[in-house]
Amino acid sequence: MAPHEIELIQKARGGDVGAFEALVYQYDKQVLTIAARYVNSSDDAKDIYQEVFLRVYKGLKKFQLRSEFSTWIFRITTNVCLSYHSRRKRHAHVSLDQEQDENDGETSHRDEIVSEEHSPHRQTENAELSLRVEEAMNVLSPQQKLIFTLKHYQGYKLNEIASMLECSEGTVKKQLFTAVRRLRNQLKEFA
Amino acid sequence: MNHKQIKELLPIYLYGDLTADEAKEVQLHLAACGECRAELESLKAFNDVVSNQPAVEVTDKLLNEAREELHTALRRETIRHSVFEKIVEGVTGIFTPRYQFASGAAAALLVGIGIGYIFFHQTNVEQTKEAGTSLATETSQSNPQSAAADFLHGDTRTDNLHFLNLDPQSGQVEFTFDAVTPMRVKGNVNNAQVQKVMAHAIVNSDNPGVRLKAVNALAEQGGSVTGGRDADPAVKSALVIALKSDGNPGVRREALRALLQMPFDKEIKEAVLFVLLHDKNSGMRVAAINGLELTSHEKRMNDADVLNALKKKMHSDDNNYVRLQARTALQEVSQ
Repeated sequence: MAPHEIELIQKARGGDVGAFEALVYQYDKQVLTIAARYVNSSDDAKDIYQEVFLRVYKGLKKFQLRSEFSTWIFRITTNVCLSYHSRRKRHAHVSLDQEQDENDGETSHRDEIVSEEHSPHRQTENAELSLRVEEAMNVLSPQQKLIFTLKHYQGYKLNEIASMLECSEGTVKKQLFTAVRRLRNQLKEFA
Repeated sequence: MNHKQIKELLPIYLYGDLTADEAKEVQLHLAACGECRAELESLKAFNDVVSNQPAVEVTDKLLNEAREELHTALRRETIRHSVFEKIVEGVTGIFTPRYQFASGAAAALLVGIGIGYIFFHQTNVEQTKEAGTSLATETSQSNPQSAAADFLHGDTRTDNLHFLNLDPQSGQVEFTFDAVTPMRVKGNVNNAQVQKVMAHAIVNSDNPGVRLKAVNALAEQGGSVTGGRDADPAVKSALVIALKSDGNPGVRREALRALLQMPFDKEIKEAVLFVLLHDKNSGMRVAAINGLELTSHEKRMNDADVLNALKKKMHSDDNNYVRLQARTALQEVSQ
């Protein structure tokens, strides 16, 4: 670990919020990107982001300086992503209106993206495909979805994903294979 | 590797994440196996389909929003921690005789407190001395020697027991645990300890009604809370946090009212400007404008930050009334 990072960690442990922010701003865009890809919602991604760094802040005193700080952050990120999924499921009944709003938001976001396309027919096709891919992703287990997202959309190496999830590379390969198989089953009419 | 194993590796092969040896083996197999070649083509088509999926773009704006929200949450966390420590320090200071450790006893007890509940058996604290001057602290009947035993009955809940030492031969044990006992307090809002407990509630309570009452009690007392002196930093910080981040606009409104009655310093000014610039509730933005106008007028203050914020709102706020109020306030302040 770089000396300046150790120094920032030590200051942050003493309650120096500025040092903590300087420390995590090196990695926070990656964290937000992982979260945004995983939940496909900017608000949810920000929630995950905040929870990750609050956990990091609270856990800093227990962090062993022997291991890489970035590895630790990404482990926490994947843990929060996985638990976020189940929390959302648990609280899905809380507000139907809210869910409707969120769906509306997502639809408009999708509309915004497909509006760049020229043909209205193409727009409809793309919107439908996008919806189907999203539905297919939600058929996966949280871990499969996360592994697929990290690999397919973000290009992390298998060993990096294994390190984040604290599992073997073999497990990652197996889960990735299963994820691809299940997604292909869901989307066979498109590919 | 056999055909089935190769087939399972094809997705990884496409991602270019196989070892050189594995990739070579796959290529050799593909050259000889039509089924796997077809599978590879099908996988490529699938990859194209899923790759076109639109994603939330992590723009600088989104990142900055996330950072700002984190900053507020961290401040909240820091204050929560500091208020918590101050309450422990203050309250344990008052009640020390009640909690002296029995020096000759077998157990050494360290005492923790829980949110909203601070030590002691209820019956020990139900009477007040003189309203407005002190907390209810009738503890004279306590006997330090029986402190350890007192924790084990009544309403006290124990948690987080950790053994420090355990000597089976002598029978000596040393451990720590958290003792959480409901406590009833009656005192005046001017009392520093009462204020700290309320500050703690403002920051930590999940119940908006409790937060509102706590902020309201501080606001109602107005200048008498500080008596013209600087406000207790923990209380002020709790109110600033409530003003900037409480989800309930009623709580934010009362926090603003309480803060505007304290000596108007940089921290309060920044918090009010934060509301003016960022609060989604137009009523709050108007209240912030009124507060700034009044303070600037009273103090004959012509602050550049205030003027700039008012100008910005005058031109760009979504709400007509806010724009109008900002214009009026700007005229008043500039005079």
